[in-house]
Amino acid sequence: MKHSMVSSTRDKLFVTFAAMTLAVMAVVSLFVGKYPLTVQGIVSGDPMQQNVFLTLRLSRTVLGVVGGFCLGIAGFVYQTVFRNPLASPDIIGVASGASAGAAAGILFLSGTLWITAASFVGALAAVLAALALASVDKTGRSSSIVLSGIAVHALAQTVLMALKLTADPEKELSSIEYWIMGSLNGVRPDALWGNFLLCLLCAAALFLLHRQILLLSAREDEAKMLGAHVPRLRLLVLLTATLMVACVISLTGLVSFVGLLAPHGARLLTGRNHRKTMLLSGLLGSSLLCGADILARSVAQTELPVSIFTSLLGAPFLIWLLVRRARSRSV
Amino acid sequence: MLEILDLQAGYGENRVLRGVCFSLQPGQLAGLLGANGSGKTTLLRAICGIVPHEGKCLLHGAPLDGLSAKKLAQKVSYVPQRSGITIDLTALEVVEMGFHANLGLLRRPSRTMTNTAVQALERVGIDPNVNFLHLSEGQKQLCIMARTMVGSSRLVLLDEPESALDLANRYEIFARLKSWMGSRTVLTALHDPQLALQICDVLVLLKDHTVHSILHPKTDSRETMETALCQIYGELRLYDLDGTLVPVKTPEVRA
Amino acid sequence: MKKLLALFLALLMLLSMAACGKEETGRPLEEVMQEMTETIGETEETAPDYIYYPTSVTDQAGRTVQIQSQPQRLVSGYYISTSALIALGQQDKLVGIEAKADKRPIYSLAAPELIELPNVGTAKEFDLEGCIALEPDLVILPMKLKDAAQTMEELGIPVILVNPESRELLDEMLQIFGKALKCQNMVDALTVQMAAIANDVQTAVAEQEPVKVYLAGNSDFLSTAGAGMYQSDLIALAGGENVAAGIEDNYWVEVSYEQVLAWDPACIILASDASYTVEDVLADPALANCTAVKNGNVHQLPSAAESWDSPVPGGVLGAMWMANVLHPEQVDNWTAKKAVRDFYEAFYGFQYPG
Repeated sequence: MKHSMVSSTRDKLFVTFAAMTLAVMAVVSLFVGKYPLTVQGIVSGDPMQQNVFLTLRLSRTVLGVVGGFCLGIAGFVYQTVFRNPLASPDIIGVASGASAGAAAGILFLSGTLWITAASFVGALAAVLAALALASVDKTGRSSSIVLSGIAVHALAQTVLMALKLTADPEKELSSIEYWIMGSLNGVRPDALWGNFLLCLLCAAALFLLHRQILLLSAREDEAKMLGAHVPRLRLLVLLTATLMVACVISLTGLVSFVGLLAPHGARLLTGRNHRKTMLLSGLLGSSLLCGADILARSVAQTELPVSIFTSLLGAPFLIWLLVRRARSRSV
Repeated sequence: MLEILDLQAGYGENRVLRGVCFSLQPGQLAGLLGANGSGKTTLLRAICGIVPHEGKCLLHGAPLDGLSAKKLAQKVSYVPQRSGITIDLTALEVVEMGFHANLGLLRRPSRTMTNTAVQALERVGIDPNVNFLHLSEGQKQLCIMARTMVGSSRLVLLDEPESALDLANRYEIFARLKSWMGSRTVLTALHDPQLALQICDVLVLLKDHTVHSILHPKTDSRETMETALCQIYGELRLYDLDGTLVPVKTPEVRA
Repeated sequence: MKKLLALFLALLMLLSMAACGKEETGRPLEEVMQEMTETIGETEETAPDYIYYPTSVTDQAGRTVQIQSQPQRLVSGYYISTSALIALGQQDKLVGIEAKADKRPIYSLAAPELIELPNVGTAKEFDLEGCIALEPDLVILPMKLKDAAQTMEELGIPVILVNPESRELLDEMLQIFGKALKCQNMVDALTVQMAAIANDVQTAVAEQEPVKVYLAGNSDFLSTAGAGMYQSDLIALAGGENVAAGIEDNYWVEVSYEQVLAWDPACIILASDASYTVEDVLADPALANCTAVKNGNVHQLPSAAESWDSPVPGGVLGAMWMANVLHPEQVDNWTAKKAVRDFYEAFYGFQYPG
């Protein structure tokens, strides 16, 4: 007996609940931190309080929300286009390219803004290299992209290792390692807004292209016969998603798990792949990153890398979802 | 009308098809028969441009080669043997993919289109909201058929659609196809000659990398057809059972 | 000659302190002078090598190291021990030193010939074969290289493991060198001088309210030193209060801008080898409201000769410099500069630049 998989009310409920969770996280994030902020302090016009709130607390919260959202959406896109539930932004080398770029930035340039720029360039270079390499296979199979992604990833790792070797263990090496572990700490507010604009534009584009993204999940010849120019469409979708990911991780470093867990969670909850699922994916990503960052900055006396907490928070949630799914299937 | 002129196709050095020529009239349901490996799928894929080929394919006088994917999809539908959908989608979402060729990059299917899709699914007896992956192979095939039927194509190519369907559904689906096709041309590869004899207006038989013969079940004599079919399938007899031609394979006599 | 000069300066230092009326921890000057003379007399190494050696020392890893004869071919795999060896006048015996010597100004200033020496790698990638190939008769390595030390011991090469991560441990290391290299008198001169400088600083700032200091690390502004680190010790000595003293960790830690603003240091000091500059900090919009930045009270530890934020023998001068920054009335420019010049003149034989 096949029961209907569509329950728009149930999906709307999930989305609303996720949005509310996110709102709560965001508010908590605005009021947790090492600097003692109070609502009265901010409202009363104390310049120090207002300054900390606006330049530090607010921008960090927004980074968590927007960054997590984009990573969640990008994960959804990658997992759909590559027909692989384990796909993540590193499948075509974005993450390793960004790491190599950041390492080069830390070694040869100075200043956070330049490091951000270098990692962005590294991420894009890696993806373009992967896509260029894949285009050698004229049939445009998605497996070619995956293979070239692996090759580029390996190459980027080699570059990263070489850079780490030349790095001064007393200064640069720890910076590189810390960057790779991911952190929302120390992000300069002036670096954010341009990045965010680009991210949100890409996210909007991906929502508009949702139908095409689903089409790309079919076999290549099938999609072609439905009228899609698969290589071009895939390039458009992947580049947009990757641009978004590059924007985010050039600011935050490698944040693990969000791009993998959020879309998975959204799919397991809704059982579908429609726009609401994509939105839910983004909202779950936001909540996860925001929540993880709250912990990363308040659990210890020092700033811990955020990836510890994305995994810590994310894994039990995923396990719960899997158990829930197994139970419902065995009924 | 579909005209295939001197089609050569194949992967690499081996030419699976050589010098294939035939033409089909609008409103004809043509069956493509041949032994395994005779090139039925290759021929269909060559017409679609999925497989590299030489020679000409013309639809209503206009060449099909060199068209963009979108333009081609507006004219030709290709229904593969198995659907390659691997993610959770509703049957409706799958059918709505059939509108892609007629939609702009950022456009979504309109209300009318969605209604058309729902009706198409109802006609093949599938709930639009069910998960496509949870359907049986046969139902998936019906769903894909519905997808084809909402498109605008004038030429429909089907690759052994009956392999996944049960006996009743086989005839059912072709009955629906016939009632829907109107002046369209449908070319379907089939591996069951009995089905072919019953439903097709034209039969194109492939053997030795080319067209062996073209049969018209409504007009050709039983003997002609039996001879031609023997060439393809080995020893068989065609029995006339109350107007229905039934091929029965006779075992090979070993000397 | 160096040794005599050093002794002379040490005595002068004590005398000048007495002259200014400042007491060294409250003991009468005569008593201190008496102790000094006795110490010098006792440790005057008049015993010839063949009686003095073989000898043994206990290194900072607790190992007993046998030294058969006066070492003539030294390898030092750590910049702190190399610097110490120069201060002790042993640089002529060096046949191999640590990597990246060209990056440290102290060598080109004090002993340029050392830069030409083959290098035995860093603590992370130690060139074991290269070291053995130099045929040393004594190797000095940081504690991390325990395994390499083991290997070389098995080949009959004595290895002293050192761990100079604080002023006390640095002193201990120097004592070990004194015994191993039969240069106790030089060690005494050096340690006395170092103690004297530390003392001077301590007494000068004793009555003062400690100034809140944020020490920014080499890799980025937001890395700082916890209470367990050498740098924290330096700050305390110089009459400062490390705002990060609540953090117990024994290595560089990462904090947030918010944390720095919450601490609101009165003074920000950048580590000697920081990859960013004082200007960068002053221009950082996130720090605009911090007291130190508002008052322009941001400085970088000098590194014209050595990095003073590590326990090299001259490291205590870092406290002197810092005291000058934090309490300019108590430790004035002239005194600080003179202490620095005198020290490097005496123990390293060059004019401190600037």
